[in-house]
Amino acid sequence: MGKNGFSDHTSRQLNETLEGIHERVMAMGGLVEQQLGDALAALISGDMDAAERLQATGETINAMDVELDNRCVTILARRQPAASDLRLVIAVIKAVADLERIGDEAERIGRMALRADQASAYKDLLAGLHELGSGVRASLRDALDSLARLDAEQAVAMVRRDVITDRRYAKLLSRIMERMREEPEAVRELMKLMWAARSLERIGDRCCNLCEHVIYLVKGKTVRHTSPEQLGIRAGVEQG
Amino acid sequence: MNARLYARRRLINAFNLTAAVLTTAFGLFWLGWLLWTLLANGLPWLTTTVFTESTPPPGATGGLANAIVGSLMMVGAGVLIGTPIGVLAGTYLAEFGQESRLAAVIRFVNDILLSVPSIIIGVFIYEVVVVSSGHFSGWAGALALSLIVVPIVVRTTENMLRLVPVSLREAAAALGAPMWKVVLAVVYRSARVGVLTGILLAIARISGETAPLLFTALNNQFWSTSMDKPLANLPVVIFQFAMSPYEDWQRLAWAGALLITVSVLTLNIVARLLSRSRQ
Amino acid sequence: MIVQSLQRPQGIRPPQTAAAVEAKPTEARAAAGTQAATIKLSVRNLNFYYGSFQALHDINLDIPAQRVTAFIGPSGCGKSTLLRTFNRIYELYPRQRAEGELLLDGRNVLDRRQDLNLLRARVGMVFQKPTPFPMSIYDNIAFGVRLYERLSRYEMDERVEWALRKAALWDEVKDKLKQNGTMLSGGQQQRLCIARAVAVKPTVLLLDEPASALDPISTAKIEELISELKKDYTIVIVTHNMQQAARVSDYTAFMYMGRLVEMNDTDTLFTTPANKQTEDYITGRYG
Repeated sequence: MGKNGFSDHTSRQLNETLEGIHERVMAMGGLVEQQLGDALAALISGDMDAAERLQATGETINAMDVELDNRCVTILARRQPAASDLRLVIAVIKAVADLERIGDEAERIGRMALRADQASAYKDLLAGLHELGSGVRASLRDALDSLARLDAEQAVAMVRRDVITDRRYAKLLSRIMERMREEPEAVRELMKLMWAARSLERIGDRCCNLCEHVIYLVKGKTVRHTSPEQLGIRAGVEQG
Repeated sequence: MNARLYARRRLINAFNLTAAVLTTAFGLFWLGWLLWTLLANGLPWLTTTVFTESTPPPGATGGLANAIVGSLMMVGAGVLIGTPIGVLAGTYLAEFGQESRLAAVIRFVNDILLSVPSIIIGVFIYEVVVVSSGHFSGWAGALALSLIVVPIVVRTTENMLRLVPVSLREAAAALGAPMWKVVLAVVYRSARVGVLTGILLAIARISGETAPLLFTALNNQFWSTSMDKPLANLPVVIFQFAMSPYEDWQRLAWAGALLITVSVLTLNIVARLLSRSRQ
Repeated sequence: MIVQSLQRPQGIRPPQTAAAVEAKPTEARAAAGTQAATIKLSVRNLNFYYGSFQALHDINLDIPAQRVTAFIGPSGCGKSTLLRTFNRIYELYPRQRAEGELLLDGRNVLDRRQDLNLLRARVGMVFQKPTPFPMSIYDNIAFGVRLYERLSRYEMDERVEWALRKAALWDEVKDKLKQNGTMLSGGQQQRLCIARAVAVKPTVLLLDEPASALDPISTAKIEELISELKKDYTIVIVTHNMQQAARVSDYTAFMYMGRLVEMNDTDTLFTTPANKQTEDYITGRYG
């Protein structure tokens, strides 16, 4: 498939419809990216403006989720897409679901923000969360980029990098648990940080899902439930 | 598969095929013999004088020029009278009358006319035209021939127009064309070769007719191109000369018979070619 | 361009179906689903008879202007019959008759005083089998135009080109306008017929299974043409191919046994039909 394989149908309307959902899912991805950025800003630097934006953006994302779902249903019902067209619609339906969940997780991360007077006590953990969060943001950007460019190689590379996120998450988690043992009275705040870390890790997983949808869309291969080592071969982007 | 049943079926097939070939050969045999006889007896006497001189008295030299011209005139006039009537009536039946009562009656009458022995038509014109005008004439002959042309042309025209797909008429009507325009501009255009073939077949049919001319145009020993007077024509000349005891007349009859047969054959072949070129 | 779309403004575009969402599922008689557009053609209490056989029963529906409306249903459901009342082409046959009202821009065209040929000049029709007239491509187009307009040679040339362009056929035939229309391929013939219908500048275009005799590529071209033409014309299409109806139409009416079962915007009808019979038909549960 070329950079944009949706625009060479005899039916101009079909071209526009397929391009439309692709553009729209990218726009939704942009919003989700913004949502994650705002959530991290609220969590780590206590940015109150960002925290306030979260809810409104979340609602917009939810509306787009419904709208894109409807559009895909309409395309399935009216155009009976086949082959790459069909995979695009299926991939979009699945990607939309993942994006919506990423948006939800981001909103939850925002809710885990500590009060400014408390935050100073957990600078080191927040720094860890910052590191984890930056990695996850990069993952999301890569995933969306591979979806935008329909680039399976990039998608495979992103899934491979998710181990880094997992490792960072595990390390951060043990640090938080250690801190809990040292300061049992601060368990409430520490729990918040733990939930935030967990949400970030989940977002990382969702980004992997997004990449798997891209691989399915571009290569027609289902690569879910495959180890990262096998992924490139299964996806057909590298030699076995 | 039941082998015995299959063998039986093959046997029946072989039998029927043989029978079909034999009967075809039987029919063709007579036709070939007829053509052969005509060629053998007619060709030697088909000289230029046949086309340049009029029918002679017994014992003198002469040709069939007056009869050829007379035949051409009457066939021509008969076709000119009969074709427009036939085409219009056929058009009515196919396009306007369709399943109506009147159309059914016309169709029935036309079928009768088609199968009426031509001598009856001769007698009819004799009674109506010859008796009332008091003399035989070329016009009477042409009228009799036109009465044979009409039913043939009616029949072929109707059939040919009906072959034009209904969808073509609907398409023209759907553009807002009135019915007459639909018929003229679209239906005729599609069916014209077929209609023309029908007219050619009608010409072929009447050019050999003897009986109706015997009662109407009679014959004329001399050169004449007047349609108001008795007019010489090939079929009647052949009839008279062939029945005569004079050998030179009989030879001319053979030549005339060959001439008519060849022209009828030619017309039929042209008609065949035309209708084939349509597909 | 897709990479750019990452930076698209992030407000919500109205969903594609915004205009149609208002439409409520209909009872067979209410002409719903069409509020968004002006009504071009209204069918009121229409009954149709082939001799003593009643083929249509009390049809009521509205056809919106500059939209594609599709009639679907099993063979013999009356969808073609209904279409053929719109230009009264059925009157070519003495035993067929329609009762009721058919309002074209508010005027009842079933009225006996309505001039038939003028009606047909306003309501063009294209048939199932391509029907090029046995004349040149040029004359095929000019035939209908000459019936109602006196054009100079130059104007006629322009009109012929215009119509052929409208039907996306110009580039294929511009060098052989003098050739017989029957020499074209099936798909081209059908586009010629569409050009011919368009040439007389009708306001409504009736398409009676226009692609059922064509191969898939030609079909796709015709369908694309339909969505182009709807900018200027009100289009009604009968098709036994419901996927085609789903692809090309804005509104769909499902008919069964001479009755209108359900009419709605195509999105709704094909995703959440209101009527059980419609559901059974479009999901292939009939017979």
